Amino acid sequence: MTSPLPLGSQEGSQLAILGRDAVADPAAVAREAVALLNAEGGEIWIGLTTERGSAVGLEPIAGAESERKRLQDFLVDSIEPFPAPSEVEVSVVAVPPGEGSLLCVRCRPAQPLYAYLERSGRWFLRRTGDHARLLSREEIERGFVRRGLVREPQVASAEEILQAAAQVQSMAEWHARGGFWLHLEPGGPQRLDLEALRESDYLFEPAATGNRRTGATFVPASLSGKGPALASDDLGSCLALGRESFNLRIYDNGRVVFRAPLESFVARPDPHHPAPRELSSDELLEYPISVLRLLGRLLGEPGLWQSGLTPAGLVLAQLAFFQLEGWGLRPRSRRASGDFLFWRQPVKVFAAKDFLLDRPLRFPVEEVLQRPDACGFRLIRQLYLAFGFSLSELPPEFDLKLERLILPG
Amino acid sequence: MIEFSEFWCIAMDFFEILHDHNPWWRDPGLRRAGGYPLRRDLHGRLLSTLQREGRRAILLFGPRQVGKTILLLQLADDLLAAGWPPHNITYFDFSDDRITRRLTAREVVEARPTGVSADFPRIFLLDEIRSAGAWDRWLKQAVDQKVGRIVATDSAASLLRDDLRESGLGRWDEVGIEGLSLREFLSFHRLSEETAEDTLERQPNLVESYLALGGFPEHALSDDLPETHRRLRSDIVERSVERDLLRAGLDVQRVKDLFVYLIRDSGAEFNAEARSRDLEADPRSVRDWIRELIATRLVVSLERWSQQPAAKLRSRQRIFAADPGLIAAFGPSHVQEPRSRARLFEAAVFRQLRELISADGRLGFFRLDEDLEIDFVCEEAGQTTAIEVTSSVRVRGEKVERLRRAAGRLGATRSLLVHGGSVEEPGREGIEAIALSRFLLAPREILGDLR
Repeated sequence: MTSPLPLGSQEGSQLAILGRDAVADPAAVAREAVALLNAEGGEIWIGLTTERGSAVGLEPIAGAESERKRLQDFLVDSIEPFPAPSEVEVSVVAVPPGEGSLLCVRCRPAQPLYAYLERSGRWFLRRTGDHARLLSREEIERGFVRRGLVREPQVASAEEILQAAAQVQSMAEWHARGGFWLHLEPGGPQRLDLEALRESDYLFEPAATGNRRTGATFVPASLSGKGPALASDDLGSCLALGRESFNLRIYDNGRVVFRAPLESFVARPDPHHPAPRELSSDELLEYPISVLRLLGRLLGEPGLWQSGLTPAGLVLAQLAFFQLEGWGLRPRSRRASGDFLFWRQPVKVFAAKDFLLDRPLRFPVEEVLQRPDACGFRLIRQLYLAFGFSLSELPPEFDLKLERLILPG
Repeated sequence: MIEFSEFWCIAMDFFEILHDHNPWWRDPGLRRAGGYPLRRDLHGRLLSTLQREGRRAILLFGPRQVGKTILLLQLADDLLAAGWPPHNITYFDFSDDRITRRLTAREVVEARPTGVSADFPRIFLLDEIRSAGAWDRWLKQAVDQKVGRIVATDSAASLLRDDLRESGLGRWDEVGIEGLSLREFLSFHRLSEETAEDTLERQPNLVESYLALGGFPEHALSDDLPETHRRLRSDIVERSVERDLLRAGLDVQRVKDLFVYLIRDSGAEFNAEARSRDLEADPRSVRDWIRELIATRLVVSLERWSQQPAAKLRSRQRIFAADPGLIAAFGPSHVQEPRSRARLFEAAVFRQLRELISADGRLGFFRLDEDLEIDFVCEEAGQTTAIEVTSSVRVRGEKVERLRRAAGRLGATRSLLVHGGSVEEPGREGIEAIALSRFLLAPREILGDLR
């Protein structure tokens, strides 16, 4: 439950006030949230105008509910350690009839130290009075010491540690080869009926999982000469499709590992300046989202699970682009910008050797079921941020309001 | 009577256009197809024919938009690169909108630029030859008089009229060109040093893109299907159907309606009486229209396979879209419905079979009673291959059984079930199951075993 509308209130150590524009800059909200979490907690109100630090007017937010979801996702993905809903909660607050809605971010610290993750770096901030400041080295050290003494419920479950270990194992195998690697790990003891899955159309027919037939999906080419075969590897029993370089494995615990060469993501070259090799926004969005859609379908079909029990809880998601160094990426998309403008935007080149999420993202099973595209988008958003793009420079083919990837055809 | 000044202006127009078409006459380093690095499979064959001794001309015919003009310009570029004297190469497009009178091919040949080498034959690359006056008589004489080596193109198969064929015997070879094959389509998406198999391995969705976009080179790299389909509809209907058939003096609106019907029902047996009722036209007119549409090579016919010529004559032919992209463009959006997808698949397979079948081979469809059918029967060198096409992503038992029974009645020596799955599955009961993508990628290897 949020506090009353703070009109007339002064910004302070527990109250931050931001204008409507802040919804387009969730990084700024995340920094404020971390600053509050590292202090005494408090609220961030979005959609108010200020004068000399006091909230004086309303700036209602259009599409407040979709903005709420988007902001909540962003905060969960960009604050470390993972804030539980009880720690960071975004809610929509209706203002007087006809005047629209505002957003309120309620921050209640349960850990001794939080960080805002940005481009593989961490920002440690603390709210002091009416502004946020960077923590000193001593303050950060003290926070880490305290954190070491405090049990961290977010990563403490043995099951999650095992899940994370499985990811590292499948990643290590792929690391040396280079390429794209996506690992989705549902929790729980439930077992997928691999034989039943093999008989379904899900692995053959992109449209059966809501994907485009002409799209960049997990379905491999037929010339691989391999149908879905029951196999077994270090991670367990699985159905394996495709060849070495482009393959999908679905394990009996519901784990999905998809791998593809970086060349599967190559964009049509700039006709005027054909180097360096560039990533295509369509493929960046569509490959991971196709896999999330597949997992969503599997999770939603009790008939595919032994005893009809589907996993519950969380799905850990990790993705990597190995040997990405030297690859380029442009903002938005060629389709949205048009060829003329698109090729005139500067290409950003990835400088590090690999891209790997700092930590797996965590999606509630319900979310993978209901919003698979949004989950995939959250994964790829991290890559765009790592390239140095702002959120407004992400490809608009992911419709933020509908939370769907919409591509023609 | 034409005034001198008026004549001079017209003549100037022609020479200006001719020089404009052949920039290598003024600067040997200039090329016209530099922006089109990819070569059709046919290109190498035509190039080596032009470079060999011989006097026969080549008539290259095919539907609009499949790259005939680009192919001619690429031939010019490659001849220049091979050291052919620039002034010995003449390209001319008779459909150039700047031409204000009916030119003849003779005028183009006689417009001899200064600098022609006597050590090499002249090469004439004549685009849209049908727009040239009395071109057939000229071509016959030109070949007999050995004016040079000639490649002439046109979009319509009026080039193949029976009387023309007789004149052409021994004088020219007819070479058909269709839309891109899957292998050619993949070459547009190829990264350096990559084989077609590598390309498809890296981007498996390109098979579906090929089916949806078709073999039209201009659209091979499109990533906007709805817009591509809109442009295809507009280009095909307005240019090919309306413009070409208007010239033939047909009832364009009803022919256009018939064309759309044929494309949307690609692969169906054609019933002139039923269509004449739909179009409120005389069945004889409808049969004429069908012949004209087939002449555009946008639709193709397939006869019923039978050992008895009389039975074949009595049977209705099946009419297919020449290219799967046409079905996708004129059909319902997304083409997700199974029957529409089956039409796409059949059109794509038929396109490959037409290319593979030799002059001595036979291609048809088989039907016995109402329930035993085979989409394609291919007879080569005494071997009969039954090819059934299904858009199903799985090899279903009942489909296998029906094909087995039909192939048995046909006496087929080999039976293939081309299916829509994108991963391989084992065949059953003597039926070889082949995924569509593998068939389209290597039809010669798959069917070559027969020969």
